Amino acid sequence: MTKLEEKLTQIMSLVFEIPEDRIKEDSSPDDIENWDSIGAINLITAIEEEFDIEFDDEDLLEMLNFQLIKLKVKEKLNA
Amino acid sequence: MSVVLRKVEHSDLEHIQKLFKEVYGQTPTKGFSAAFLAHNDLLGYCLEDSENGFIVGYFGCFTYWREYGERSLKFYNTHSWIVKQDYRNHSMKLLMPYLKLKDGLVTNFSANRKVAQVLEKLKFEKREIRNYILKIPLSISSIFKQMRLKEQDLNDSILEAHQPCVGLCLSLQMPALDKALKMILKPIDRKPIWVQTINKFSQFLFRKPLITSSYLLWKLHYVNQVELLNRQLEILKTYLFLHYKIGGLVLPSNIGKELDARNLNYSHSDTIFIKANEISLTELDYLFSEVFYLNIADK
Repeated sequence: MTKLEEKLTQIMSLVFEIPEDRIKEDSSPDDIENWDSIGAINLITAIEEEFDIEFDDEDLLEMLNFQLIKLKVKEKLNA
Repeated sequence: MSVVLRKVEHSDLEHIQKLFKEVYGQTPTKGFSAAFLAHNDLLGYCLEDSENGFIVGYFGCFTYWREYGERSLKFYNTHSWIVKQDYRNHSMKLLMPYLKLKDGLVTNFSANRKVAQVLEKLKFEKREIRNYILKIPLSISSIFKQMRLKEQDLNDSILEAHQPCVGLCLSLQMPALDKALKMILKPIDRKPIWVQTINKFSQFLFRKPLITSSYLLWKLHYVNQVELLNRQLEILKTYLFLHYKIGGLVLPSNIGKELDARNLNYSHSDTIFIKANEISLTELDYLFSEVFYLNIADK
């Protein structure tokens, strides 16, 4: 697991109040109960604060699971 | 539980009413159904359970065109973001299509704390609109003008007057005006002070209020010419009082700004969330969009 993955896992675990081992590469709102609208906003806010980045609303349309979030964060960090 | 996102269609009305009943414990007003069936443009998005096809989520929209100066603007007025408890993790899917709409302004007038949080995060602009209540009593001069207007056959002056869903659409060609004055007014669930005073007395004397459903305050939601309205306000106030039992007018502060402050009482603020997408909003100081209040908080 890369550092980025570790950090994202920690953030998601905190935001959604679930153990870290429940978070998989394909975790999405379909299998995480607290990933509702507020959960999604809290997650985005936490990621933005942690990595000091800012997502556009277009980005949010694509952040549908752990893997896609990871890719988006990578993209932002490399920009 | 997997879901499918799709546009709402007229044939979904019954299922959406059922969803309201399940989530809120009550079905929407008759006005809602009428508006739903009357609109042919975007009605919103819904989530269907992909196994049984039941509608489990809905984020409604009424779409309007409004003139602003020389421009014609399209408003997607969103309302009623409701999702069944078991499907709440899919609720963002209902909002996402609105972010993609690029040919108009997406608005929301009924955000509760949670929805407001989401909309703000998605960079919807938050606007507070202060409202003023136009004071009654009616002046003698306005009553005389009103009588004169009646003599000139008022019916010829009314180009359009109908109550499409909730409220009143008026288009008036008054003798003093060269252009028609178009307005949309809707009642708010509040009575003006003069009605409250009468009711207080009747409570005291007869143990029941005298004025119950009529003479409410009505809010002005749309006007095509603010200046014309200001010029005709006095006579219009009388007209609305006599013809439609409108007990008082609530005006957004920028419409009331040219009026004598002595005739206005500060009322309340409305919070509006607006996403302009690709349309510039710099000159738009009042939202010329029809508002549809369901009087039910979003869930």
